[in-house]
Amino acid sequence: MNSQFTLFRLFVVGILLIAAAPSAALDTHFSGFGTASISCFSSHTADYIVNDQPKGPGRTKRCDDGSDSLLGVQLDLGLSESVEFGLQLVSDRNEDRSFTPEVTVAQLRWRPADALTLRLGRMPTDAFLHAENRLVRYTMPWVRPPLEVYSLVPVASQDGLEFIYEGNMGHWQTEWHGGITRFDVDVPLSNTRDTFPAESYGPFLSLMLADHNTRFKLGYAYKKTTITPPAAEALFSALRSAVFPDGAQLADDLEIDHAPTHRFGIGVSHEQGDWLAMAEFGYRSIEGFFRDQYGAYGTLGRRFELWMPYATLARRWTRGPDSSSRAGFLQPAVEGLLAATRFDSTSVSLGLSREITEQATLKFQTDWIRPDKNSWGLYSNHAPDYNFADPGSDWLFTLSLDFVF
Amino acid sequence: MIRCTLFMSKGLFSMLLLFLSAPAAAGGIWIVTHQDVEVASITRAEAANLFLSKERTDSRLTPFDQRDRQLRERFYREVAGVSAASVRAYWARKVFTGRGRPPAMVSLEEVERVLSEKPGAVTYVPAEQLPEGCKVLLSIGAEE
Repeated sequence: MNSQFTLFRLFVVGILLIAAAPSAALDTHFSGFGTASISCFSSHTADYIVNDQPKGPGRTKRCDDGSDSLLGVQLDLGLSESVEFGLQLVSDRNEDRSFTPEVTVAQLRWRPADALTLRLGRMPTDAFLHAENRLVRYTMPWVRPPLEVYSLVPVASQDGLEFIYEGNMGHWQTEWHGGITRFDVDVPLSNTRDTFPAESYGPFLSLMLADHNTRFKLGYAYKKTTITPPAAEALFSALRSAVFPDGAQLADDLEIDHAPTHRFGIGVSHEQGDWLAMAEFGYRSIEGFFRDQYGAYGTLGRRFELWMPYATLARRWTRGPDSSSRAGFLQPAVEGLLAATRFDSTSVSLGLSREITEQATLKFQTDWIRPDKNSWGLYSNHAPDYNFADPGSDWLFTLSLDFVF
Repeated sequence: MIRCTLFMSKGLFSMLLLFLSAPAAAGGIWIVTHQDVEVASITRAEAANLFLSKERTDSRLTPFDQRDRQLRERFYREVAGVSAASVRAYWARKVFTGRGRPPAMVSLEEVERVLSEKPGAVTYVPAEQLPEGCKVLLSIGAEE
């Protein structure tokens, strides 16, 4: 509701600006992007989940054409020499399983000086190399960005204020991004049609160094996060009962209620001639039962005219306590909660893309995915017979057509 | 046949060298603008910056990309060491994050008209297809 109100106010501001500048020649650009995709997953005991969706290929349905498929349209409206209004709508699978379009960008961009841009409104997160354009799959070599890293940040856009300062450092172009944002989303609850709320707000700062061939990105964000899954709430209530001497303190330690959150990312992308190499490392620490989560990947690709084979190795891991002796007879429940956030896994991806036209690329990617022992993997909707102690490995096959217009 | 006004900053020697090397430059690409534009020459790095909009260099110049796919591929590989596909991905990132738009496109047949009608227009052409009334800002990719 809050974010809708913010958007409403933003639209009003945009309309007022348009009305206030009737003589200004409006510079209007309409563009769009999309992906038509189908994925098949070998697991019978879990779904492979993209971008916090409620279902995916695997246990629910062997093959799924809704995990990566999406359509986005964008309108950029120049209001004056230095002010622009941007609106982007994207239709992909929502947490309620519908494909109702959502506003992913709605922002006023003001450039008070050549090097400085201020953006107010809704914007994608800026955490990693491809985070800002993660839904525009045409811009990346893979069928989707490696989730071992990119699921460390929510796919949902954020509302706030951002500055972008562009400059030079030797032969490098520099781009500083900073600001303060907040988002609130409904997270699908595994094996149900229910959701639970999550919200986060706080400042961020990132630096991009780029020349024609290389991009370095370094980013840090400090947030206050609230995540309240119903099972965790029930557990905290039980711990706070008078039965446990340290229970209340333990509940406070585990609870994620305006919890300090640190997010750090570092990445590099290099293209030289026909070769492409990328690597990123991400870290997210949420005080509470989420513990410290890390992700990393490396990708190598080579173009052969219109074709590009590529390979990616990715890893996700967690650090932090697995149990607490303070929980008494509720220790198994506490261990279950801590284990619920253990997504540790390794994947090896091999892909091949081919340019169909200058605006469309066909991609085929095979992912070999192995969740760690005692891990849920980056999956959801686990079956009762999912082997948590030793999940084994699974195969994911994806065929995608990415396009822009 | 070379009909373009050469305006290289290194003076007569460079002019002579370019004339003499013209036959060997078959396959080369020349970055051109209208002869009335004040800019005399640009470096390879400035050309890459201009066409990839990495920095706001010379506001007097407006880049125009070429529709010809092979020419564009050769140009970006020569000037920036990247493929045209990666340039398209770069501009898609810019467009969909609201931070820029790619240069407008022209065909080789349109170059002469665009250079004369659009003040500061800059584009690139095969060395053997230089239009009338233009000035060469940089020669690239010619076989030595």
